[in-house]
Amino acid sequence: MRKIWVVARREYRAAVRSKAFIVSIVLMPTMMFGSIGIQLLFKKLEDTGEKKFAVVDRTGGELAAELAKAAEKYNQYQAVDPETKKQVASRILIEVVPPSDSAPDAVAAQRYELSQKVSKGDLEGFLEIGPKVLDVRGNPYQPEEKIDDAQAIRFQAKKPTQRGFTAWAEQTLNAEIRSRRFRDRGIDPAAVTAAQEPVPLKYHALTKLTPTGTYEDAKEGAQLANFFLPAVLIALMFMVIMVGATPAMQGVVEEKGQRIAEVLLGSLSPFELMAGKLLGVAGVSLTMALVYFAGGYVVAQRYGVADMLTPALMAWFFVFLVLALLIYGSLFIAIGAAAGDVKDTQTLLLPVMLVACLPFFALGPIMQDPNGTIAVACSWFPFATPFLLVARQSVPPGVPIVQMVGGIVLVLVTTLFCVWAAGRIFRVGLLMQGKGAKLGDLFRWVLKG
Amino acid sequence: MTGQVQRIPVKPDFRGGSELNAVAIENVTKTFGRFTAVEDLSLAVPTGTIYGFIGPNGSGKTTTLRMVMRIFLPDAGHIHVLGEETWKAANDRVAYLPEERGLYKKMTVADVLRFYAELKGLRDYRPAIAEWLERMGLAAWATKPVEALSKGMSQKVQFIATVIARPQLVILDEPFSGLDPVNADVLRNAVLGLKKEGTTVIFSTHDMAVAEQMCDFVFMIYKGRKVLDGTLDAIYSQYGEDTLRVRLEGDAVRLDGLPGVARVTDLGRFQELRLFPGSDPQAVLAELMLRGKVRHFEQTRPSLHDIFVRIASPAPEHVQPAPAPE
Repeated sequence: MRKIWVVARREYRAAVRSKAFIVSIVLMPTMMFGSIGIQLLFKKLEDTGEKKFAVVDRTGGELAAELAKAAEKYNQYQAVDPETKKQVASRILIEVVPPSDSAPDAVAAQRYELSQKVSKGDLEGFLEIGPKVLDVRGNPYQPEEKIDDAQAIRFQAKKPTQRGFTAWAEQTLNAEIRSRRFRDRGIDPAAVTAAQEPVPLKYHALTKLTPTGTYEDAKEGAQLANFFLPAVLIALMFMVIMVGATPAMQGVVEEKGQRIAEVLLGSLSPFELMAGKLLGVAGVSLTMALVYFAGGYVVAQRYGVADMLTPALMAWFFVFLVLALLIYGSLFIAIGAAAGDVKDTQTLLLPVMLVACLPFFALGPIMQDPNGTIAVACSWFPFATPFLLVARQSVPPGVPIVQMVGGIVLVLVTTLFCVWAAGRIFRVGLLMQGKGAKLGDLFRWVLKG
Repeated sequence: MTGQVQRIPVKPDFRGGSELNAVAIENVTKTFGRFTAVEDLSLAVPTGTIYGFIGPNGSGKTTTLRMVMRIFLPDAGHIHVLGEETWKAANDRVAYLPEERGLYKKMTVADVLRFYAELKGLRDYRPAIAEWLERMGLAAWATKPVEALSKGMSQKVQFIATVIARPQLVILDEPFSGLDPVNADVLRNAVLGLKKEGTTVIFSTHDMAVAEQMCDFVFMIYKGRKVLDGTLDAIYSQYGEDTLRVRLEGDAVRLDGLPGVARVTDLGRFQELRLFPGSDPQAVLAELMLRGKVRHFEQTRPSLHDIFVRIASPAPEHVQPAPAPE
């Protein structure tokens, strides 16, 4: 046991110092936290200065005045965080410009004059409220480009990046125009607003019977969990296995190539050597899984879905991760022992990778119906069992306990078989030099030892 | 001579369990498919001696050493190592330096040595590592990665890794190959130092001079069978003084067809003539004097090199089995 431990420690150290490990352990949290950080950063960096827009109102000036009033309200309540009183968005300044004469030349001249101001930076842009916007066109489905400018609001700016302002201005002006139209027809706009109040549609998870005999809905957010969590768990398990097992495989190839294998066999048995390597693989992968889980938890908490990661689910994840690690770790190590060089491993790895990717192919049907026939059937394929049972367990109501126990037994048996078979391949392959073994050779070594 | 008498296996004891023998091999056979690598081999390595394994490439040396290390298991026969015959691998009291050997390139020298010391169960490894690095002139390299070492240096590190945990039996497969004379001397002294501390050393070599200088016993295997085994003196006496070393003036003298000469070997400055058993050296000298001017004439025993070549030349004239135990 001491020797296994010494080997495991060396493997672990060698792996966690490898570039692949460092990159993957740094990259993932960087991406996780980066997405939050960038969001926060952009909020901070968002221009909180003043933005000045000119408004030419050709309806008589009342709409422009309303807009200016709305801008003041906006600056007071929306551009400032209500709790911290900190500026969170730019203030909008409205400069009401008296309209020119309505002759086309005069209109164009005014537009040119304002455009010059925008070019110089005195203005961000300018709005021109068409003279007939209060009229009803009688055709609500008329394509936008066929509507005359007189019946529309024009916006001109140097940069097409004033979405925030245009959306706000469009909404504010339309609300004002609509309530004027109502008033013109003798309808109380407040009554209309009240009558138009929307009714929401809320998603809930299924109702279940609790042990105390009361009915209770499953936690909200289950909808998100159904679609998101299984895929994330499968991908995470797959990734940490690859990150842990690949360096172990390359390590065995190195030991063969650098003629270290036989030196080691002078000090410990092939079984001890392989067990040490497996333990190292498990250590590397579990380290990575822990880092990712910690990162994932922080992110999940930020988005308010941390409830999905129940302790029970995490426990299942780690139980199945360890079993899957032993299966795939032993296969990878055996491949390393059988291969003549790194190139050989690619050929031998192909069938293993195909098997390992099966859970991804089954992901669609599983997400649609986690306890459906396809999901259950695929779960009984031992190389996919750890992935699929964890994925299905993450979706309420989870996997029936009979299937869970059956799955563990199946995976345990498979694990023992894989470690045993890999040990036999390892023992023969380790001292073989030169040409790599073929798939057929591996089966022969397993059968004959 | 008297100092060596006690080591001559008057009655070789191949039985296992004896404390006198570090390794006892009894009637061991090992085959790979149809190829018989080692056939019915028996051998006893007395405790505290240096035992040299010689033999051409592919004759079964490494297979024998691997069986002693229990990396291979024999098909038939018994092998006792330090009195035990248990088929579990790798004894911590036995150390092995294989012919094909390497080190983890990215690890530092000290880390590699610590790794092997721990594998062999040595707890307090720091003083041992420091002492060995000092002794081998590698103290300044302790924190350097292995990939920065020269070939000679990494071979010395491999040797240290093998013996760091003070094993009772050290098995070295071609320990001196590829070393320059200075490093070879350092390693040779280290091996002799091990013997002084009571360690039993088995090593294989292709360098007959090294075997002659260092070994208490020499064992030769050829085509999987034992052909020589015993002290050097015993082996020499088996062949007698059947070799003439001669030098003649001028290059043109032909040496073929000399009476009683079995084989002529041109060594450059000397010619070596091997006599048929019972031939008269005087008759050869007389014939030589007829053919040219004899500058040097010496009757001597064959060197280990000669014996090796005689046994293992492409068409071996005689494969003489080892002397039967008296």
